Amino acid sequence: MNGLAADSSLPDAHRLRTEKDQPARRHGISLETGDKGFMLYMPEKTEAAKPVQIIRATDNNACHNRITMKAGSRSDVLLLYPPLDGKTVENNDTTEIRLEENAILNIILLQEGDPTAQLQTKTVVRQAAGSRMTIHYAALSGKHIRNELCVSLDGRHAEHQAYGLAFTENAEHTGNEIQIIHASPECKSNQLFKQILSGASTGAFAGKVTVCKDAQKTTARQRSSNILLNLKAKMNIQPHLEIYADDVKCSHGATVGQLNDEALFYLRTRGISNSEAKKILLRAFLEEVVETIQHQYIKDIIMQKIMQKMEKNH
Amino acid sequence: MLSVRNLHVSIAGNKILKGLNLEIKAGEIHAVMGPNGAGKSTLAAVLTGREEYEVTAGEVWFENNDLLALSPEERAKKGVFLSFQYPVEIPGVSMANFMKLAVNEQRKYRNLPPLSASEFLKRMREKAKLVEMDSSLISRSVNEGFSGGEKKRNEIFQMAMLEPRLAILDETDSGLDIDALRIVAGGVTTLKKPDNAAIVITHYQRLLDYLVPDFVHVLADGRIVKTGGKELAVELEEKGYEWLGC
Repeated sequence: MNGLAADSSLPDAHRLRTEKDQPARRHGISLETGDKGFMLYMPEKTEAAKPVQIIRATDNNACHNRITMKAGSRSDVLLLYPPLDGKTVENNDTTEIRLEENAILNIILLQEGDPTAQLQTKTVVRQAAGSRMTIHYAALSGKHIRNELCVSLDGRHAEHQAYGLAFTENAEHTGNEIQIIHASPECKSNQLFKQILSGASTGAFAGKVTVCKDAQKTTARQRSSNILLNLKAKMNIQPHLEIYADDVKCSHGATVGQLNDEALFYLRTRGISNSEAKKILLRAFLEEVVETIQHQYIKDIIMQKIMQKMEKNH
Repeated sequence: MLSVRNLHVSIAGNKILKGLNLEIKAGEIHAVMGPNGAGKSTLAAVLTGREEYEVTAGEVWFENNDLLALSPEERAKKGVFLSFQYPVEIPGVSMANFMKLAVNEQRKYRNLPPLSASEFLKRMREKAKLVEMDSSLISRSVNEGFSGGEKKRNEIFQMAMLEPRLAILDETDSGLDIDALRIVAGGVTTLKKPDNAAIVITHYQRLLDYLVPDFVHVLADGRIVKTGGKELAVELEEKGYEWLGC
């Protein structure tokens, strides 16, 4: 990415901002900004051969990142938030993402903080016609994780898929606040967020879909399903649909429950122990989200971490 | 093999079974018939360890084990199997993984080494064939999106995989067409051996045209009110249950 920063042929707004390069903030929307961050710029019709992996290994600051996908480009991005040896981490990152016509972006946030970590992300996305984006939030550990996503589907046939999974324990909290604006006709969006809560952990999901007046033939789905393993755990869900067009397909569903006793009994009558049967069912519950991730090694990292937590908490 | 003595069972304060007695020996097939609400499914549920039922009196012995003291999984490992009236859909758990785990848990219990992947696959195919179950179902999630008939065949398939000592078939015939009924009954008959036994719970005599029981019991108001041979089933079909005072 140093290469990109040095490339003077890039427009200002697309250059990596360094501490000396403050005036380069000439881009559109104004957001909370920090002095650091990364920039990913994919020129027209280029494709990243391998996923771009970005490791967020600094503490206590706000990064301001930017991803620009020019028309017809394609990339997978992995944003890793690893543990930092127990340092007190309070991050607050903003990522601006712009997808031009027919661009494709798959982004995965793997949030695996220390037990004290506070990770906040805010992602603002604008998608032009025919562009497709998928985002996965895997909240694996951290004292307080909060993800905010705001997507505007600006051009026809744009598609956005937002997924989240979390397994919280002790006093952990994971919250997702998703807002998808259908500003153009014939766009599709899908939100699927699942969380298992053990101990006295808490979770929140607020999902809002706005279908603007002209956004006919919109398809928007939203679902949040959650399992409480403990009476002390708590989940708040707020589904929200705001529809101003009349020819749309929109659905939303929100559930908070316990493990399915019938399924548990069924497995046990086949000789599978109670604790094993519980693990199978919890794993299967999150599987619906995990299987939408394309990279096997990421799936493995996620499942391994989740299984560790399950061993302790089921 | 199984001895049920003076069994009294309640659920949420309602008395369902009121002193039920049943003796089953190896090699026998017992049909339990009776009107709706007689307690047939309760019997199946109690024998397999469903927790919401409360046993208020009586005892159940299964091959020198106090069955009621065992967890559902311990009962399964000792060879008790239930074919569910309403098999449960479990999204996200593949039939293959589920069966592999179940079979190997039982093998571990019997001090046998786990089956290799190829042995296991071979066995799955063999047993699927036995119940004429489409082998593509094996790669799907447990019962998810299966038709009524496929679910019931899947129960008998699992029974074939697990080779239980005592199989309890809870209304396995309900919702089946004649072809499926024939296949399910054929599967059960094929699996019958001198050292195992089956309890076939049914509302109709229909299944018993294909699956010949050694004994037929009529369960009414929580008790067995009449026991006979296979001809009793025919008589029940003709006369209904009323002549027995149920």
